[in-house]
Amino acid sequence: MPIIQTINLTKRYGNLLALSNLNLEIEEGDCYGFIGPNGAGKTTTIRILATLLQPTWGEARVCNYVVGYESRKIRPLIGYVPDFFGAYEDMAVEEYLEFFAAAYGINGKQRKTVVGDVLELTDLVYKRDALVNGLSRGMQQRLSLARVLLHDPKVLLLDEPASGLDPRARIEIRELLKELKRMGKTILISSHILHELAELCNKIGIIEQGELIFSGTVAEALRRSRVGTVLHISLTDRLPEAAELLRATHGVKEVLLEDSVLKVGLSAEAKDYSFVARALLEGRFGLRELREEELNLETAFMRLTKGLVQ
Amino acid sequence: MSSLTNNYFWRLVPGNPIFVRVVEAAARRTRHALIRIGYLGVLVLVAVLSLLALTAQTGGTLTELSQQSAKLFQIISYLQLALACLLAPIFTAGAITQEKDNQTYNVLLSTPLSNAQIVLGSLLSRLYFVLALLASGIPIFLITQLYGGVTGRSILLSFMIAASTAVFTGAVAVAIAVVRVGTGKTIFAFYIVISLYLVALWVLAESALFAPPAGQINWTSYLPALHPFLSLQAVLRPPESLPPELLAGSTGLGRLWLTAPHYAYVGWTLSASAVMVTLGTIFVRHAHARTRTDWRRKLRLWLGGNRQTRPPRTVWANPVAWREAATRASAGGKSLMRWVFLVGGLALGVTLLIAYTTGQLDAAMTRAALQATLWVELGIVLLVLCNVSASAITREREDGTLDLLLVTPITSRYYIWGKLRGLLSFAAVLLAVPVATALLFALAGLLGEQPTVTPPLGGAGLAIPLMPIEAVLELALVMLAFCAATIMIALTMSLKVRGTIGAVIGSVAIVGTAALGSTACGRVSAETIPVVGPLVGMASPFVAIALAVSPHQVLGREFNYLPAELSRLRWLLLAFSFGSAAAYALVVYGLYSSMVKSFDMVIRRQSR
Repeated sequence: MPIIQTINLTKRYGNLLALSNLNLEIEEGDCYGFIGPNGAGKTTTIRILATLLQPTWGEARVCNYVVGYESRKIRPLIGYVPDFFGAYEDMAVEEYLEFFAAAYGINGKQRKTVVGDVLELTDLVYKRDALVNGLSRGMQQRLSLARVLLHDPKVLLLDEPASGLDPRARIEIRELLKELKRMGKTILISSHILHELAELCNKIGIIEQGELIFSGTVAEALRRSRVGTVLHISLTDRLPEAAELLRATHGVKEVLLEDSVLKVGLSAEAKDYSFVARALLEGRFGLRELREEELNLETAFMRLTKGLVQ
Repeated sequence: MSSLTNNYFWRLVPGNPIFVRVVEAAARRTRHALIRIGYLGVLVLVAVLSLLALTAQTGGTLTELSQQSAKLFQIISYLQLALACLLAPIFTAGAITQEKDNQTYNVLLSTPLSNAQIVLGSLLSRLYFVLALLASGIPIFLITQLYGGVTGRSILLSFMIAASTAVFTGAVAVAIAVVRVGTGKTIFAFYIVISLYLVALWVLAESALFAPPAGQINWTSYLPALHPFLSLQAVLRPPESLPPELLAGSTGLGRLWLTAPHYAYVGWTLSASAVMVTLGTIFVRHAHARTRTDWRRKLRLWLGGNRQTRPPRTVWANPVAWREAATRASAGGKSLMRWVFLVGGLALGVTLLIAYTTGQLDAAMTRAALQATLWVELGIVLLVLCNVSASAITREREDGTLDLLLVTPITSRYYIWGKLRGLLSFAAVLLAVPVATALLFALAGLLGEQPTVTPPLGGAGLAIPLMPIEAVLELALVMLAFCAATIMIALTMSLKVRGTIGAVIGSVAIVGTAALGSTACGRVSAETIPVVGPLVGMASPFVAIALAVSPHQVLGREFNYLPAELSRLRWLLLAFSFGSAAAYALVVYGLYSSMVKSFDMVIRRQSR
């Protein structure tokens, strides 16, 4: 039984169709990366799952409770980090956490213990007296994560937690998320930093114009986006001549010259690319480098999406 | 050269890109159309009803009709000015926050637009709507000319006063925006300062200090030229007598100030606006180029309040209540303001008491001063509560913290109860000032001699305390109950209105109307209806204060200066205060229940 499930989830804002028949399944313990261009519907999906929005059509379930009908049962089970930091005026870090602990009904001695634990987990103990408003963006994001851990939720819904962070803060957040993954939390995370998602998530979903165009493992996404082998070739000189030669070679589909590098697309029937090297050597070209283009999540994303924004 | 000049002036006002953008956008905005319809609807309704009522009272002769027509003109002139005073700050105050918060000034300053274009564009774009609104009312004013009795000059002057008020308000708002001292929070202060100025000057003009000598009406002084309503009054009811001792020493502008306050008002407001616009034009780029420490920041640093760390306080079991009581309403600079109010209010009470006991103030003056002090303190508390409560939900919505709370198991009932409880705790601290002042006088009265009041028509005097001891409890009850109702009204506005400015202004308008209405009705009832009158009076905390301090003045002819009567009245007032508090408790409960029921639906609708 998936811990998060959406069935034909549709959300309309007036004339704008934000989500269209979205069918999503996330298993318990998954770390699911939610990718899509701006305005694709990621935040809308997360806000529906966080019980903040009602779907126009379809159904969303969290821990087998239906959003809208059983939202009160869902709320203690989820932790939601929005794409902004909701800062309260004149509140110290510990007060901020105590405030939300009280909101989750954690009171008395237990509250102090829980707050102390999450401060330690998120490495914020030395900031407990600091005013929330004065924290850096990285610290605020860490505090947001501390906040959602107070009630030990099963599911974490993280909407772009790394946006606007400097590299060090991003790495720190990523390490923290890895720790949470190890703790067995189910994480749904949206982000635009794809290589970090690839490192963190075991599954990804790609959404565009409110439609889920891919859902599966990262390896599957890469496999799906692979459209043939692309070689990157560097030569000492005579690049245009080499390009002409390769275009005439059997097994080569396309040749592009970009920044003194030849990008050679091979046709599907090409079993290996030794014939390319052979042709260049026979033509007495000075070969510096010949390598297969590395396929990563960014490339996969670019290939799978059409760049359409609503 | 000529075309260059023409082009400059064209781009300065009619073709000013900032102004053109606003005019084009405003034409398409449904909200503006609805406000205009509402404004004209109110004017038409009042005009038609007044016309029907006035013509029904007359025999139908042309003279009578022209007299009634003049009365109608007076009514709608005051109404127009009141609406202009209400709407001008709403539309112009946006300049303070929008330009600063959205950083639009920074973008504008980086364009080739001249300083004058930026400042005038900002001002005109803010004024456009208000001036368009005033212009749309012209046909209604012209109707009053149908039966005669109203001159074109009066109509023109009435419009000039309303328009110059709007221009002055806009110029102040733009000046604040230009010198960058304003933030979103400044809007409330801006609105309050304007309201307090209008009310305070009116009260001053009506006070004994500026009262006309016996037998003279339509007296004038230096005040009408400083106040839009008093200036309009001078147009509608020109002074019949002018104080000779004032006129004797005044010439030129001074004489104009006294003899034609309407011209003087229009003149000084427009001149002051021109000065502010000129200074704004000179300093707009200079003020933004400077990096400086804000004066509030300097003050906080000086007071040691700009710390980045603070030992955490204990959060209550209801975190929503704790936040309202301990952090939001009393945070940072607001905490300082609260202390100023607490210390200042108590110091004022003590000073009054010392002045009375040392004989510097007689009993009558002390009663007047005590009543005015308690009224002003309660007024400030109500305005602060309107601001804090009306922004309680809107601010959370705007800064995103509401979402964080909505995903927790907190229910709407718990959330609203938390808000009410927290805000009441906050209000209780503020209300301690008028209650403590009243208690001071009550204790002093118990220890000392009670001042005797002589009936206006002569006879035996009666000892009436400045503040009966039980009145302290009455005032605490009625004021707290009225504050609770204020909080609930403002919270309801905060839930239903999306923006903080709209919610605050709406709350101030509703609470202000309720306070004025209940005070006016209560005062009249107490004066005219025996026994039941004071009951109605206790519905208003302002009348309750007046009944506690000067029952003989409130009851007027109904009061016979008999000890038994005073004693009975004191018992009745005590009982009525409980009744009034119970009635407000019911109102609060009704608003609370309705808000709990509609909370989820409203929040969901606003999330769309």
